[in-house]
Amino acid sequence: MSWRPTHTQSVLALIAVAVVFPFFGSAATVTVMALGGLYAIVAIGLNLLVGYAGKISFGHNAFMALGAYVSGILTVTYGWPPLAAMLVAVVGTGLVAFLIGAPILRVRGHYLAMITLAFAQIIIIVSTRWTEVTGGLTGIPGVPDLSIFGFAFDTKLRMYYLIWFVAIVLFLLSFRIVDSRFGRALRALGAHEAAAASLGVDVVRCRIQIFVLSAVYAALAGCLYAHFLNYVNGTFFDLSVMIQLMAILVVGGIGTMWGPLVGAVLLVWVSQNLGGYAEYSQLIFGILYGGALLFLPKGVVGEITARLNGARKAPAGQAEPVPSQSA
Amino acid sequence: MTSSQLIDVQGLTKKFGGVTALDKVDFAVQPGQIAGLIGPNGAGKSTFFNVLTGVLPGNGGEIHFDGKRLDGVQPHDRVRLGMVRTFQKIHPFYGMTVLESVMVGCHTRGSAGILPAMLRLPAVKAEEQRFREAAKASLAFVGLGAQADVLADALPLGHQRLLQIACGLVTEPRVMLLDEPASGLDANETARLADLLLAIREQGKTLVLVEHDMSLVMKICDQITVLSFGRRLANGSPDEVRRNPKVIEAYLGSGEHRA
Repeated sequence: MSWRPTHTQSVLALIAVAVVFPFFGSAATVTVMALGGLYAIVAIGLNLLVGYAGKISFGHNAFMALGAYVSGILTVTYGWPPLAAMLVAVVGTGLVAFLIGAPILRVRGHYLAMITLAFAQIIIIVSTRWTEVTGGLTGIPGVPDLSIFGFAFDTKLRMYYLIWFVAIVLFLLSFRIVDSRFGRALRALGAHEAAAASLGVDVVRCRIQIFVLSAVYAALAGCLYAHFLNYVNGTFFDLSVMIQLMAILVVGGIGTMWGPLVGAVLLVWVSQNLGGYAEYSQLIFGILYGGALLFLPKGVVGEITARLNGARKAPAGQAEPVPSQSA
Repeated sequence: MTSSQLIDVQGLTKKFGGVTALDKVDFAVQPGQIAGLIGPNGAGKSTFFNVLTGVLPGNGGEIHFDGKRLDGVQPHDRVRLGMVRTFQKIHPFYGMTVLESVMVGCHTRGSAGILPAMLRLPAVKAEEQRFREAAKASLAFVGLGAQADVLADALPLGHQRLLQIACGLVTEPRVMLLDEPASGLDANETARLADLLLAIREQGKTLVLVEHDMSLVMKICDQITVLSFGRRLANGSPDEVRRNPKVIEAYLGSGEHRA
């Protein structure tokens, strides 16, 4: 295989597919893929945390819930404009993530996974029981449509385009993050903490920053979720969502740039096409998750990249010539 | 304490439970010198190195760097002070190219955070360009200029050692602490390493190396400290150390004497 798409070609193809898809898909599949876009937004942030910084969170479903509930409560109960509510939801969730992450990310080990799991369970229980504020099991109906500068995102199709616009922007920004001073520090500490620290990287600070950023992405997806369905309910964000997010990362390819997008589209598509097997969705995700770990440890994207790279492996040392400045 | 010392360690003690790994060790390096730390296996070299670089806390004594107390300063903050270390065990940054790995060493020379990076502000672009040039210069200096775009973990061991030095140099250190830089190298590679270390000293930098390769230490060090069973056994020029009977007994000739 000698031809390989360039980055620009791949991105243009992605945009083209996202734009054209609704013309061919039914209304139902557009709704499903809008959901895929929401999962992609969360997965892009989570991938930076898990795939690049090497830390695991089981609480990103709760950050989604926080975003959705703050948006829902502020717009429905207090009549705030959606954008202002969204800003408060996203910044507030970032603050919560900072308060959780700052003490926990100082210590080594998998404490973050345990603490975020506990935090997420608390958030989900509170959201379904604190009836006066969250509407309890009924949730919050009547979340208004999002409108930006007078343009109302009042159909599922318009929301589909908004969601995928956000997802693709965040996707493109993640390339910039990874290829920056911060991103190199992140990748270095993910590979070896002490070696990164020995070169001046403040490991704890970097980890906290990426944890907060990934929580902010999740909150943003939660806000969009609330406006997309015009409804918030705690069961939208239970532990199964977190399991699905992890499955998205593993199937798509942890630590690859395209993995979260590919994984999100694949798994959301699968989950919506289970038909009569919907009640086995947890089992099916478990099989996909385990199967990917066993047979595609690099995920779909990692595997494809490895094949493409293997096919055109350049001998070492044939890299770009560098002007020799021998001292 | 004399102010002419760049690194001044006094009475450094480290205990692991009941075992005293370091017993009131003194150690000093003058600026612009290459200091060697040698000793038989288990002498406490690695422990000394780890306490000196802040990886392990000490149980007593003082470490001064350029007149400032170093104890309690985080390893990553020491880089800003002008102290950088390498590891005996190679830890390549998987998935990163050689050039990117060296650019990690530029971390303390810049300040761009996540948001400026996402917006790719002009200041960020300029900083990235500075990093890239500094990293390329550092790679060219150690002789890895042609490998800039190779994945770091694909390099052979000898090149990995040079890469570590390039990463360290790009932090613009005043002192480099090298943990067994010749370990795993063949004679040719060791000879080239010796030339490189001497060239680094020529730039006015100070070097401290913990090393097993006796000929390398004797060849390039201005001053050698010998540790044995956690104590400082001897200290002086290579010639003085070589002729010191205690050193010969404890280290160089122990096999024959005990036989």
